[in-house]
Amino acid sequence: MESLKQTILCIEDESPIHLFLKTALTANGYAYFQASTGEEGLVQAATRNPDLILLDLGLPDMDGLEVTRRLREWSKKPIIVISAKEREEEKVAALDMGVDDYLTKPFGVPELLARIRAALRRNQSPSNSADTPVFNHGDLKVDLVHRRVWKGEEDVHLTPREFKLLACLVQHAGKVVTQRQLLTEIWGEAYINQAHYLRVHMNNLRQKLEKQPGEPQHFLTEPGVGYRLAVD
Amino acid sequence: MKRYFWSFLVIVALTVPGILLRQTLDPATIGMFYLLGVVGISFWWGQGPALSASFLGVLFLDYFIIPPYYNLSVANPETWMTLIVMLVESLVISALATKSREAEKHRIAAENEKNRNALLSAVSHDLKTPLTGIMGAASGLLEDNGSLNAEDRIQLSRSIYNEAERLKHLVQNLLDMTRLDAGTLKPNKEWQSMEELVGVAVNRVKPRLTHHPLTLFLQPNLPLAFVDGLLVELLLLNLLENAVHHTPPNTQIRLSVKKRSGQIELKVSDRGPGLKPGEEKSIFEKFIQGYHSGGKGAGLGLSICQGIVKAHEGSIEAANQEGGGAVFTVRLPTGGTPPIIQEE
Repeated sequence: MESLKQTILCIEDESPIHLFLKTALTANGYAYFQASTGEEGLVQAATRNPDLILLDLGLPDMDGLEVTRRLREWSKKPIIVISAKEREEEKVAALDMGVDDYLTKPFGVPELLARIRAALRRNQSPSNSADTPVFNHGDLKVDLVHRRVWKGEEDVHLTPREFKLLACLVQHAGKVVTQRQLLTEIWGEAYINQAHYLRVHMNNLRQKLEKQPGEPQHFLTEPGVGYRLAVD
Repeated sequence: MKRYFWSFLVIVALTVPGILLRQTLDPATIGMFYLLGVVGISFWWGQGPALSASFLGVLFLDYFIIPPYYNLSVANPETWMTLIVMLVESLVISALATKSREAEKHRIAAENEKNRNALLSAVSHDLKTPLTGIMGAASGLLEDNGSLNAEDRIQLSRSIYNEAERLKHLVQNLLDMTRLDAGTLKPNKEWQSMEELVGVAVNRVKPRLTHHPLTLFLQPNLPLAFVDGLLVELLLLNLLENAVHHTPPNTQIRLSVKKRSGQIELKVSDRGPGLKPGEEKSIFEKFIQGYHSGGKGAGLGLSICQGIVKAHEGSIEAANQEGGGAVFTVRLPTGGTPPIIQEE
């Protein structure tokens, strides 16, 4: 049965963190491999070909962003960054470099497991619109093919721009999408520094689709980083 | 060496009016100028330059000011007396001024030391309390010889988790505080949506809101505000947590956001015990806790709020509201007319 387990490689230099992650992840049915430097991590990633990589940004031998870059040269497996750093720019840089998600230390096991499951699920069924034409979460339903949106039973009308924004979030459902990615995709390169466009349109989406726009359930803001469309 | 050069310049500069006035003023009076110069030098540049300036001053006085001019010889014993007294006065003054300068330095250092000690003892107390809980519970689990049942173990684990959570919160607050204090945190202002910032703060505080019903009032069509999103979110978070901390379970908390003449007005009100008279200002100070707080938290939340508000050139005030409870009112400038969004 061993071979059926999903494997996780964790690149992290703190052994207490390895201990905690190993205990939590093996107890939840994953095979756990550990590396304590960037070099070792890259070697293990190549030899073991894990289903998912947990990566600490503060490694002793190498910048975590550098590890990401080198991993992304050949691997499309999900990477989740775990970092004690509060610096949003760094999270954004990692996300823009192709990292799938991030967790800020300290975090709890439920949060970690939820992120891992979501990342693995996305990786198994690449959520392009052909594969998952209808998105459902709570009272929100989006049909990308027929460009229709429902809030409960109610058919909601969105402007083309709002729909494009929603579609982009649906395609990356559960994952943080950086402001830069959204601005580029929906308005174009020239708008990278015009984050207020995004905020105003996000406000509109919340007004139209959230029960209480002040306590959003679907359109979550990742402060200083971007947005995440909630999934179960 | 620079200090000596500057003090030399001061003496030279004082000699110029001395020469101009040497016909009208008594040499002893002109000597007073030099004394004044020496006081200043010892204050700015310390004892060494002051000493050399004293000797130089007396020399210049003799050479330029006391007749016969441009000559170091002295005509009568009275002048000798003037020069010697001048020199002694000058040396004494420079020593005294230097001493008082040192004393001031010491006083400031002592003050800083005192503040730092107060801060350290408050912080270490607040860090140690949860740590004690964690170590106690963990050692209980470690040294278990089979006497603990499943329920006990869960309780100990939960206690470890809760205390760690408390520690995390405190460390976060300390970090925020230091960043604000050091002034390194320049607000990174962008055109932000208040609705969005409220949403983030409310979602983050929600796990702690289980016993406090929260009412939200957001004025429709709030304009974008030119603020630092992360800081304003932190401000809201701290105000809401403060309300949760200091009020009994099952009392209402209300957050309202309105536009008021070019400003955004944020109000967080509760139905707790309110503020004691005289507390309205002091609760914003570091490590000061409200009368009713019962020792929870480190007393940092509200001073963080104040720091954030200051960084935005806004205002924050605390008061009691009619019908009981406290109300915190924050006013932030909207930052002018928001940019126009071209509609598709």
